[in-house]
Amino acid sequence: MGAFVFRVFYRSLALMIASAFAGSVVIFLLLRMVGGDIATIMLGTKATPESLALLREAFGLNRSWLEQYLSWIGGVFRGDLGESYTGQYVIGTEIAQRLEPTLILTFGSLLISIPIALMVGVYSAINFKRWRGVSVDVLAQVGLAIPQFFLALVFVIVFAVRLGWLPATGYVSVSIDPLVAFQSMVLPITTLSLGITAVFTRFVRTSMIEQMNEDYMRTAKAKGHTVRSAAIVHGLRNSAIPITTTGVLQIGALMAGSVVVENVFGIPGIGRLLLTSVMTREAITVQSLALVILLIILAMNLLIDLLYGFLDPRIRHKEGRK
Amino acid sequence: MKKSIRNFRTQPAIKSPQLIVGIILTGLVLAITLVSFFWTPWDPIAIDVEKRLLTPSFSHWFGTDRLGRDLLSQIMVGSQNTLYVTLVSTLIGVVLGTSLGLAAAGSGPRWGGILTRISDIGIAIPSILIALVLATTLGPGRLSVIIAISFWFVPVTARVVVGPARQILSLDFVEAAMTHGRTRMYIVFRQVLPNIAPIVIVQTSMMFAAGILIEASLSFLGVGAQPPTTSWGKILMDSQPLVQEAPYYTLLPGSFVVITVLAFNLLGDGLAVLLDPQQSQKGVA
Amino acid sequence: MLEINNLHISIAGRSLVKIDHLVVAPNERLGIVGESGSGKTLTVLSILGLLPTMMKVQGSVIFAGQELLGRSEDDLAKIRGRDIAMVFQDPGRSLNPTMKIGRQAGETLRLHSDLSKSEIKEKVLGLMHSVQLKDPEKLASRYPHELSGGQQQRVMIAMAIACKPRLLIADEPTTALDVTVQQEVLKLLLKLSQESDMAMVFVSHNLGVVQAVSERIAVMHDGEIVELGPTAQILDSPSAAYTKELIGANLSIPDAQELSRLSGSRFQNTRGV
Repeated sequence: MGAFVFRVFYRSLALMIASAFAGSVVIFLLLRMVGGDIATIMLGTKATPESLALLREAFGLNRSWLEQYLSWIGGVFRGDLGESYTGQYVIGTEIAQRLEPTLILTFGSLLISIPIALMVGVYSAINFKRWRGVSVDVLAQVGLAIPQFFLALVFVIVFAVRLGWLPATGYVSVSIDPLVAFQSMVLPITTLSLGITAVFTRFVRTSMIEQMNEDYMRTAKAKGHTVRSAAIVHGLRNSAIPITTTGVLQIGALMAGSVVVENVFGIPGIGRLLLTSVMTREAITVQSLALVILLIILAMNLLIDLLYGFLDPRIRHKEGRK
Repeated sequence: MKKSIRNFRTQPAIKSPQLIVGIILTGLVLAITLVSFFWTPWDPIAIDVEKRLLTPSFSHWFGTDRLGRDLLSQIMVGSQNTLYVTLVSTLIGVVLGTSLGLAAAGSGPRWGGILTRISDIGIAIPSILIALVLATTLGPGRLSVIIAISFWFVPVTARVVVGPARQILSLDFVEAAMTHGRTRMYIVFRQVLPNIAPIVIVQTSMMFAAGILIEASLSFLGVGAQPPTTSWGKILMDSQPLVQEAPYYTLLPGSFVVITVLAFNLLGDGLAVLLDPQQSQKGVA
Repeated sequence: MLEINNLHISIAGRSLVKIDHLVVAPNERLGIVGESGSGKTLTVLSILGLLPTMMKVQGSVIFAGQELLGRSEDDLAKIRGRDIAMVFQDPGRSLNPTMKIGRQAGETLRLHSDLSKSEIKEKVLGLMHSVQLKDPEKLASRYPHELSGGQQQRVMIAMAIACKPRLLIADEPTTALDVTVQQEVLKLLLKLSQESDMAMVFVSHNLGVVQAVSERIAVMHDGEIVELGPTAQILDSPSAAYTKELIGANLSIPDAQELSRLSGSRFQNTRGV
């Protein structure tokens, strides 16, 4: 198992680093090649030539693209990402502060959705011919048709406005007041995880139903398992394996969803910053934010790769033998 | 040589409630959109401050918005935007994606694998983030949205196409056809295309549903269609501050979006059962 | 001990298996032989209620005085693995690829007995030993894909006999194995059956294999038993036309004679194949 971890982890890590660099180049180019000159974008078409020149000086936009790129990446490693052009915040610090709520939101949603999806998906699969199984699947299908922003608003209406149980907006750092932080995260996490859970559930269901047709399940039954115990004891792990592949896709959806959810619930996270930066045309901030989001996505992918190897022993030995 | 590899053994449609409901609902939505070009219950842009925020009634089925405009009419017109954006993106995505997938499949096993890998990366990047980055430079608006959604649709389609296309191309009769002097292109069109058509159709329907969701989300964030173009997302964005006073303002349009997305998803599921029974037998109710 | 009467298996109106009467006595070794599609597998699956749900089953299967057909899943689950056990054809696919061998092997004990974990562990090692697996300790912590076909099948057998079932059903247990390994597995099955109080139903399309381990043979064709009798009788003087065809075309296995001697049946090669 050690050899496997060594090989797979380091290989995945290398891949992740390569992807991060490739992604950074794409982000960098995308912001410069599309839509015209950055300075004009940031200040608007009515900007005076003097202000444009000032901006360019301040942000080093006169340098060659290569210089700008290297300077940016160098800054990333140093933790210096520059300042917003409105001068209202230091990009690096701002991002760092906002990481906490976003990470709690996204990781929290991911961690909640997986066990729920497993339980519900298995239940639905075991009962796939009966009404209770089918209705669960229908529910999941409706669930993934609901846009997250709408769900968020509905939750606000029901739980914040009507029932007054939970706050509609606002967030306080865990280090200041964990209880309030928790309260303010309940609705956002529930909103975000619902969509993901619906997708996962359907996937678990399909995967489990496939597994139920496999020979080893027949053996399990022949040994005296009921369908239910066979599904849980034997099927679960095997059906979880293909889930890792879909999990990879969902992570992107999670990050995208966090933009919306943070916006509706007023959570001062990265997603919110991204939105405001886009609206105010803070290209420099957007650049670094996009990279950060990319890194988070890649990190989660790495975790899932590891999980995959952990779940499927056949992979371990293939990798180890290489 | 008219050989059809896939056995289009169509299941009786009755076995698939999804298909029926899907067709009905999508038909309804499309009908509403079409009608909206010619007629809406009220003039969607007619502002009448006296009538602002009326709850649903007989004359205003969905009530009125914060400027007194009839909500139902707004939604009807908004569907034009949604369908336009999604349709264009889907077309681009499917055409490009299928072409890429076929090209890769026809160029040998290595290219197929490379395309799949690249597609995997492309699929993992959410459209919303791309749209946001684009909106920074291009500005918000339908162009950014279309580019962003297409950008995602292309690898999704390509990935779905590459596998089966490769499978079909590796069959013996294809080699036989080639020795008879048929060009690759010919084979691709006559043989491969008809056989992957069902998969692509099902995938298109699903993507369409996803596209609607993405467009609505982007419009909600303010990055999609800009006023004066009406969009569902914008309606919901306007409703947000009024969530306490006028919950119907959020609930009704939102439910409409949900039903539309559901409609296309069900259609896709139903088509899957109809056209691709082997795939769909894996537990579709 | 096991009595099948008027068994009728059908799917979508099409009749698959029709057996009027078949009996398995305690401690007896019955062989069922027939080509693919003859219904032999379906027949034995129906005993344990493991048929796909789309198939309709009618008739009566009585085991130790109790009717099995139509019993609830919970009831059947108690009998499966404990009183009646089954070994399947492809051990590679019949074992859970993500579960360690030791854990899988001990499952029947966990399901049907109150033994503690360590007791089960001990028993499992003993079982693995009795199926001639070397290094049981090491193997127990391995995964199925790390074992050879022959080892996998032995594990399946060990799992099956763990609770000392009164009836073991073996459905093409050697078909997926290499020829040399087939030999050993057959000998093992024979030995286990002889040394214990266990009856065995051995199903195969290979007459050579079936006759080597069975005392009585049932020949199936198109869902029906066309001939039934002691092995020697079937081989020496077959009455049904199909049986004769089968004998003529059968594949012999090496050391058939040695096996026949061990099992007490006599094999006479009628066509010198």
